[in-house]
Formats: sequence, C-alpha cells, structure tokens
Amino acid sequence: MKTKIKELRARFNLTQEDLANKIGVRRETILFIESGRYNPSLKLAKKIVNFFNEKIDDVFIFEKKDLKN
Amino acid sequence: MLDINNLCDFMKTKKDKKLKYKLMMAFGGFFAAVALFCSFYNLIPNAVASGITTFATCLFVIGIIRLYIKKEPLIDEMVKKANQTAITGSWILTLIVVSLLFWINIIFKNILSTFQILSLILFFMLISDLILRSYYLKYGIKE
Repeated sequence: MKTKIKELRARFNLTQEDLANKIGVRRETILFIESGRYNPSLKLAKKIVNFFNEKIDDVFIFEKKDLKN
Repeated sequence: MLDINNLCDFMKTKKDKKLKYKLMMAFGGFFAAVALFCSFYNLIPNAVASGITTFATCLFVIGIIRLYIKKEPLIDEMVKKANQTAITGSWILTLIVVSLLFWINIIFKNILSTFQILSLILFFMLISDLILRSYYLKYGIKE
C-alpha cells in the first residue's frame, strides 16, 4: 500500500510530529504508515484523510498485489 | 454513581502515570525495607523475605526507569497492535517450547522437575514477548 501522506504533509508544511500530535498518535506510527510498514486501522485512516480534507482513496493507494489474499 | 468510562480513563494521563510510578517506587521501597527488617530479626522465613524483597525491588526499579530514564510512550493503535501480535507470537513459540520440554521429559525419563519446567516456560514467554514487542515497534508490523 502506498500513501500520499508525505506529499500532503509537505503541502501543509507539517512535520511528522505535528501530524502525529494533531491525530493523537506517536510520531513513529506516522513514519511507519508513510513507509508502508504499518497498515492503519480504518478509524485512523479516516482521521488522517479528514485532517487533510481528502478522500480515503486519494491518500491510501492500494495496488492489485495488496488486495490479494 | 460509578462511571465506568471515568474508571477506564483512570491513570491514563501523563500526570496520573507519574503518580502511578511514584507510588510504585514508594511501595517497592517500603516493602523491601519491611522484608529486610523482618528477615534481619527473623520475624518471617528467609525464603518469604527473599521473595518479597525481589518483588519490591523490581517494583522500585521499574518505577525509577519509567519515571526518570525511559519515559513511557503514548499508547496508540500501533503500540496496541504490536503488543497483541507479540503476545500471539510468544504463545506460539511457548507452545513449541512446551512440546519440546514434553518430549525431552519423555525421552530422558523425567529429567526436569515441574518447577523447572514452569520456570522455563515463564522465562521463555516473558523474554520472547519482550523481544517480539521491541522488534515490531522498531521495524513495523508488515501485513
């Protein structure tokens, strides 16, 4: 899964720590989501996209291989 | 009236946690001192005093570490998931160890006592849980 959180952060001029504080998670969690090493829950994903005022599909991009069992 | 939501939120804030660790240190220090005092004057058996002292010292040391050295991170969903995944992995590894110990005891005809087996299982489970937890928190949980 790819995410556009890094680009959005850059657009909003936010550091990982700023975003983490706004969302209410640890900075490391944002780092792992950005690098694709952690898949956030739907609730956290929704919180992130709501913060950036985007759609969930625009921020979290699933490839075909991600949807395979 | 008892509010279950407030009860669940108890000791979750930073201030409450500081108080919790201070209490841990105070209780640990107090019980260690009492156990040593009782042991010195032979008021309780040495084995009991030794157990209490060890437990109390652990409480005291954990309190110091959490309060001054390694401050507890904010617990978010990733930490919770890392904990869950670690304990699951730890259970599976412990199951393998239990089956190994079972066959060792069968083949070598009760070479290990019940106490030794229980100690090994407890030690292995705690250590594997700690290792897996730190691994998932360091490298992420790849699904």
